[in-house]
Parts: sequence; structure tokens; C-alpha cells
Amino acid sequence: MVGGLKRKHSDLEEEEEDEKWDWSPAGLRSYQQALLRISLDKVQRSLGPRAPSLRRHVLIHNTLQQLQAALCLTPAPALPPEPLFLGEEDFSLSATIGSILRELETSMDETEPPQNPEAPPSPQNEVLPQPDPVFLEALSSRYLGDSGLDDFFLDIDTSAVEKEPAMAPPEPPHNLFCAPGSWEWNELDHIMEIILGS
Amino acid sequence: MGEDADTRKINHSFLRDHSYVTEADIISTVEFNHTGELLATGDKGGRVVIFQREPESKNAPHSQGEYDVYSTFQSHEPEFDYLKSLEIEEKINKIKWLPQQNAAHSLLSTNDKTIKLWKITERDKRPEGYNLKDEEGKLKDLSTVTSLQVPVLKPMDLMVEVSPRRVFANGHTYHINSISVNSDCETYMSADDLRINLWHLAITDRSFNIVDIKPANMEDLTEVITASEFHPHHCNLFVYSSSKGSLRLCDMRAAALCDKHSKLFEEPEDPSNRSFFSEIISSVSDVKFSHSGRYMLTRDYLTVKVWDLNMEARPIETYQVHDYLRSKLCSLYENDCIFDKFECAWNGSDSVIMTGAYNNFFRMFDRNTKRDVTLEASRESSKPRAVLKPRRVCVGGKRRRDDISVDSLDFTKKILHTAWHPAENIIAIAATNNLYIFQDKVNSDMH
Repeated sequence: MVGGLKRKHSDLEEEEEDEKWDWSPAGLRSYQQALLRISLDKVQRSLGPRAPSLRRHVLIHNTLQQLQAALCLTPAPALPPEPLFLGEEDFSLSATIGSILRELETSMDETEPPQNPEAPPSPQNEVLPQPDPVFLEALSSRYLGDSGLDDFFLDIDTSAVEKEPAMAPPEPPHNLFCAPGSWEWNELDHIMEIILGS
Repeated sequence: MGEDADTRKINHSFLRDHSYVTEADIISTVEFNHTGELLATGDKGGRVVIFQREPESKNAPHSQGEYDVYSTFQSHEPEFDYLKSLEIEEKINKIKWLPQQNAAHSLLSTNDKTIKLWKITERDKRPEGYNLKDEEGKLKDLSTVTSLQVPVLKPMDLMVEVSPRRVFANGHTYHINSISVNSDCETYMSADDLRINLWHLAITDRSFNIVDIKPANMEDLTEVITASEFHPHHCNLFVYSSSKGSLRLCDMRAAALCDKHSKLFEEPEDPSNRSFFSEIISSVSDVKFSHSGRYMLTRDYLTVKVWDLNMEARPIETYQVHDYLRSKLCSLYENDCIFDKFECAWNGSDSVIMTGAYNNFFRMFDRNTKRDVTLEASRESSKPRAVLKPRRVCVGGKRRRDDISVDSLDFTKKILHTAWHPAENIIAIAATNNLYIFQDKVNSDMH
């Protein structure tokens, strides 16, 4: 996917450098969408065991806002072959960016983390060990849409690992980002094996 | 200086033996002390290496006061914040020397979270002739002691000792990007993305917050602090730069919390150059007061600018560092190079400014003659004591023999950290894990 992106990218660059640019509505829109994809990809990739660079996040956020404004203004031609995972008409980009910044705040700030109204943890998430509900919550709220992962868990019997359903939902730990290969990822993998095995 | 002029730069390089780059060895900051006798570097592995200039000796007239390693110590260690499940990097972000007040030298070094004050002392004498202990330090049999002697100090091989004197911790939630010692020599400030704190050098359990730009709602955050510095002479004035390209001069006498600037320096945007990347490239990565205190130097992605403290509307001078990158901003955004933070420096007389670029190039601009030069810091292009040859990046059109084309620039070789000796024409250039020190042979007496 990175290779594909790069190829598309150098095409765009050549377009930029040419004397006569093809800034037709379709060309401009595909350029903006490529920038949007790159920007969102950056936000995802920059999350890791280290606290992310706030400066970088803010600059990307501001660029995303400009892109959103531009995308709203430019007329929408026929749907592009690869629809954005967020959906064309209805994606709430500022809500997405907003949730990213809010999660940043809870991961970095000394104050109590605010309630996250965007994606309340679904009941299945509560019973999994500490890192997992947060990983799933972050994944679902930011990447797949709120209903994404709930369906995935419908037919999984979690009674083996269910502890006290009456407990209040655990305070999400401040590490909201679970990178593949990290110990949380491995632990999640392990837990999923146990659950699916039973 | 000019593209064809002989700059007579002499290369004294301190190169490590590794042919590959270990990440811990990447130099992250370079700083001369106030006399230029000492040069400190910090690296990604949390180490500080101090170089000392050897006095010029008649025996080796061409040694010209070379810099040799004086001391090496581990300043910061990697930490883990268990409460937030976040790693804290040991990388040294900044080193600032304190003005020397006695025989010892002191410096402040900081990583993302913690500032430390280090004291560097020399020991070149050792007491000998104790009454109760023998030469190896073992207690003597008292019955063998028949007379008293006064211990005498005898010379020994020079030993440099470094000890941490203060640890200024828990002052910052966000990443520290700058520290600056006040001209009062009693206080200093540390700045992170959203806040600036004022510390007293002797007090570690308390600091005063003097700037706070954190919005009530983090979703409204659109601007961060990128660099800050105290005025060299006026202990009440300091400046901080932002990711939106503005500079704010603040007066600590005006209020306890300096959220209202005294002066705001901002250049109106050029509408013809507007793009999605306009804001990112306007983000100021470094700000430095001139030695005179009259001007400020800022670096953004493509330019360096000189500002007059008396004129807020626009910079008085703008120099293009690598304008040929303007058409490449999309790629540079994709590969993250557009977020690189380059530093800038003044020479001792404020007549020449310097900054780094890509491909191990660095640039110098003479403010008086308006001439500029591009030089390269690399093993391949210069041997020790060789004169540096000016380089040129060709952007199409007629290409000379040694020109580099824009497309063959190596963007992994970036010179982010540079420093200029406070008085002489000696510069220190950090190229990834290598430190280059260049001296100007001909012009060292001219200012």
C-alpha cells in the first residue's frame, strides 16, 4: 500500500511541477484526498510507546482542517475508485481529529482524563484485561466506526473470563495506543486465543 | 564570501570509528560555552561529551588550538512513566552553559522532561604524607608513628570530575524544547509545547509558570511553543516562537503570567505562495537573539529571518536556505522531513548567520555583503586540514561539474544542530553522529 501511495504521489508531484497543471476538479480532489490519506496515516503511525510530538500532531491537525474545508468547497465528482474509509458525505473529520487530540490529552496531561462520549466502551470490552478495552475502544472509535467491532464479539463466549459484571468500567489507562508487536498486542493475541479456544 | 571565493576553512573532524550509525550516537545538541574554550555535545543516548580547546603552542604552530575530548558522562537515562505508560527518551534536547563564576564549569542539560545542573571540576593535585594512613590508604600502626608531618599537595595527572548538582524534575507535562539561562545568572527558563517555567538555579522543588497557552479544551489547540530564549542583557525580557510562525516578546515585569505579549512579531502571509503546507513551513524551529540584543534570528523550514526588536510588522532580512524544496513539499510532508527542526546561529559580531540543511550541507549568509555560501560537512568531501569547497545545488538550467541536482540530495543527512564560537570564526557542525569543527584560517583576526 505504501508503494502504491508513493507511485500515485510522484504522479501528483509531476503534475505540480508542470507548467500547465491539471487542476481539474477531479485532479484537485484526488490530490486533496491523497493528502488526507497521508495525514491520517501519519496520525495512526505516530502513536507508539513514546508520547507523540504535540507539535507534529497540531500541524497535521491544522492541515487536516484545511483539507476538510477544501473538500467541502470543491464540487464532488463521481465517487473515487477507493472510497475513503470514513465515508464521503458524512464523515465527521473534526470529530475524528477532536477525538485524537482528546486522547492525546488523556495520555499526556496531569489532570483526570475526561469522559469520552464519542465511543463508550461496549459491555464486552469491560471484561477483558486492562490494555484490551482501551485498544479496542481506540480502534473502534477512530478507525472502523463505532459499530465496527461490536459485531465481531457477538458470538464469542466470554463467560470464562468474565469477572464481576457489576463493577464500574475500569478507568482506561492512559496508554491508548497499541502498536502491533508491542506487549499489549501480544497479550491481546494471547487472550483472544484463550477466548476463542474456550 | 561568495560562491567562488576561497573560504579557507580548515577541517578538524572528530569522527567515530563506526561505519554504521548507532542511533544512540546521533548528536542532538551542540553548544559552546561563553568563552569558547569548551564545546559540549549531547546525543540520543543521553550522553554529554565536552571538548576543550588546547592552548595554541609555539611548538606546533599549525595546531591552532584544536578541540580535544575533555570529559564524557551519562547525563540522562531512559525512563518509563508507569502512570501514563509512556517511555521518556534519554535524548539530550538542549545544553546551556552557565557563566563561569569560579574554577568550576557548570551546564544545564535537558531531555524531554527533566533538567539537570552538572558541575565540572578539575583535580590536578593530590595530598600526600598523611600521618594516620600510608601511601595505599591503609591505617598505619600507631606505634610506628614517631613524628608528625603536614600533608603536602603534590601534582597528579589531570582528572576531570562531573557531578550532578541539581535535578529539576516534574516541571513539565509536555516535551521540553528549550532552556535558557537568564543574564541575572540566578534563574533560567524551560519551555515545553504549551508552557514556560521559570526556575531558580538553586531551587529544584518549585518553579513558576510564566507562559501557558494550553486551551481549556484540547480540541481547540492549534498552536504550540517551539523555542524560547532570554534576552542577553535585559533580564526581564524573553521571546518565544510558535508553530504558526509568530514570535512573542514578553516582559516579566508586566505580569506574573506573561500570556499577554509585549510585542508580537509576525509576517503577513504571501498569498502567491499559499498551499496546504504554508503553516507547516512557517513554523519557527529556532530563535536566537543577536549578541547585541538588538535583533532576533529565526529559522523556519525554507528560510532564516532577521528581525529588529523595534519592528514587529515583518523581518528586516530574509534569506532563502533551500527554496528549491518549495516544489517538493508534498514528498517532504509524506516522508516527514517537513517537520525537521533546524537550528540557526549568529557569529560573534552578528554580521554572519548560519544554518544547516540537507545532504550534510550548511549555509552561511553575510548580512553586510549579502553574499552566501553552501558548504558540506562530510568525510568524503573534505580531508582534515583541507580547505572546504563551496557547493552548489542546481535547479535546472546550466549545470556545472560539481553541482548536485535537487533529486540526488540525501534527505537522511540533515544538519540540524550548529554552533558558532562566541568570538572567533570557529563553527561546530553536527552531521548525524559526527561532529565537525571548522576554523577560518585567514579571517580569524577580522571581524
